[in-house]
Amino acid sequence: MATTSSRAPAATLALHVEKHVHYITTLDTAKDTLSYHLSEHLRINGVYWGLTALHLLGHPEALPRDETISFVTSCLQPCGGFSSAPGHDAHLLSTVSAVQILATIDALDTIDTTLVAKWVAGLQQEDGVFAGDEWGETDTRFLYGALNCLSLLGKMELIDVEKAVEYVLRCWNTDGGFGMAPGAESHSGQIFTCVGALTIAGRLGEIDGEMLGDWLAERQLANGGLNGRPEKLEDVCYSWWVLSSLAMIGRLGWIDKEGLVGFILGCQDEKKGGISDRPNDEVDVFHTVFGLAGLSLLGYEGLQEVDPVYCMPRSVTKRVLGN
Amino acid sequence: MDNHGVSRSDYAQSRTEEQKEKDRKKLEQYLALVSETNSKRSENDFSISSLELTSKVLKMNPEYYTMWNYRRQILLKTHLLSFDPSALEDLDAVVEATAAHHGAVIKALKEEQEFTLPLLLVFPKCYWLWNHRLWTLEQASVILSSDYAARFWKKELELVGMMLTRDARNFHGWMYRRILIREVEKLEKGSRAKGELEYTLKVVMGVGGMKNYSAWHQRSVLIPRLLNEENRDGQQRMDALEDELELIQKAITTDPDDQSLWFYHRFLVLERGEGAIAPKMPRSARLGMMEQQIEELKELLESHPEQRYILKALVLYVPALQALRKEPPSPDDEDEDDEEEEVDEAEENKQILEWLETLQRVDPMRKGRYIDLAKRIREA
Repeated sequence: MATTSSRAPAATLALHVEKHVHYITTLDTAKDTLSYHLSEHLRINGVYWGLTALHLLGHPEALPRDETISFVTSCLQPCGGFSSAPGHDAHLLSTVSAVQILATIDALDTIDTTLVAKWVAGLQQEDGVFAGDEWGETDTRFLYGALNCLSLLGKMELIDVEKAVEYVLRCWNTDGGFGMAPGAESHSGQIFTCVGALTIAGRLGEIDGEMLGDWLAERQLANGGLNGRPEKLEDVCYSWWVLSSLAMIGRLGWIDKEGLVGFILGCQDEKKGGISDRPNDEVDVFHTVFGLAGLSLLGYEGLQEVDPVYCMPRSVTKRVLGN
Repeated sequence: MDNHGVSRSDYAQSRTEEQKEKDRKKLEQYLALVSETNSKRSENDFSISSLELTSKVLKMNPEYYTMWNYRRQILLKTHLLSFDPSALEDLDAVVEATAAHHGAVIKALKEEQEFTLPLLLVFPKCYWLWNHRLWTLEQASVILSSDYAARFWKKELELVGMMLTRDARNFHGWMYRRILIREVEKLEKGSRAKGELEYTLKVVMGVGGMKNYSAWHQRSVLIPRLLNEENRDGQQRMDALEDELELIQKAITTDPDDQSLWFYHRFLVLERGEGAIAPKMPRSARLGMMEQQIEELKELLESHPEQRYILKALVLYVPALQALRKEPPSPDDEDEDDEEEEVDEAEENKQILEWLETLQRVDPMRKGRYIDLAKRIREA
């Protein structure tokens, strides 16, 4: 585990835009490495992370649109769900990424959106939550994912939104946070999914932002980074889950923004580009997009505005959702 | 693609020529194995030899969810295939075949758990692994009689206990434990809340356990549940609350810097909904409890005048106490007619604002939060 470095002053660090663009656009050239193949189950998610990062960096053209469409559509399975890569099984997590990618590059017309939406809707369970696939694992991550992609597809009417909201509220804890299932402890990742789901359903008013905001603000540690749960280490991805949740409940001002900007910038690999979980750790595209999205939400100059609910460019969600 | 806690220098060092050669060989082996398994999969080959292929792939890459799916398909069509003895005429043959099938299912499920155990020890945060173990247990419930199924679920409790000893904060482990308990309770037709509550106490009293937010959370869920199950009356609930307050007070006095303790303390002092330990506590008793807690915190503040968690608790509890004073007495309040002492709220507010000033200074990161609170106090 990396040691926590002291807080880096934001003013002395810069965002290495060109390096990050280069890092992301060359990710796919590492095909001769084991780690590339071991992560095939995340391929389509990786495209979503990379594409979103490039859009936020102001380089939407850096990934060829045609190739992106052809990769995504090659992952569409006959059932209507998308797999992580050709030859894998359909899963909700890959389907959400597929829909987000196509929405971002304005290519939803290349797929049968009704077929996809019906498959997603069919994963809703009796109690309102969603399964990840036909094997039945349930989690608030999947519930959020379903609402995310169905709203982008304009097909929310296919599911029982009321039941989904009821389920989310059952995951609400007395400390203000949310867990992955009713009774489970509060966790930043799950808070993001539950607050995001409530926001998409237009039901955020049902929760007390005061206690939740307090819990979230307590995630910030002395070096400016945020952790996912009490007594845990800070991490760039958790910084995003917490920050976006604070944004959704209108309490971004409850943490030290400058401190967090400094922390994220300090996680950049200045030589080869990319952002890591903590300073001096190995970078990856997952932490790169969430680092950039965090900076965007914090108003960092030169980045495109991000939508905290979808982690997509705000210009895209405005175009697709019409608000 | 998703690195957590891998240091840049470790990563760079691992790229030596020797390592690269090793990686190349491993990659070749992996790709050949995946290709062989996928060709069997595309032919809908659900044989035991394909099951063994999935074992090899999953040992190298437990995140390969499609392989877990394929593995489950094979298991359902082989070892776990449902057995229909109705075609057998001879009753003795039915008995024999049923027993043999039962034995084979038990063996297969046991082997499945043995296969995933070493993987779980290496990849304790892999969702697919926990998920597959759970699926295996669910098959036990579907196929076996409840006493045999219960043995599988209970044995799994030992495993999760061990996993939580290795990492007492693994939220997969805690989640999994709740699922196991729920199923064991169903199979045994009885509550295990009491035993689980004792378990959380053991965890928090253990080395470093006071910092265990997961265990405190679990306590906050279990105590109200147990009290409901045992049909406890108001007084018993208040006693339970007092015991918990005593436990947490001791912990806070020992280490006021521990955030986990304060979330639990806040739950005990402020929670009044259905999830509270004593939700119907009469107003007078609640006033007394809150006043006492606030007094104890003020005392603690004297020895730790800039401790932010103490200050934070006070700036939240005192306004809550003020709001409670304004509520009408509960019907079951014994001292309904007693004159309550006059309180100088303006004086209290002045003190809250002073605490908030200190908080802004000692905890500048959350300054915005304290400014918002101060604004509300001033506007009240």
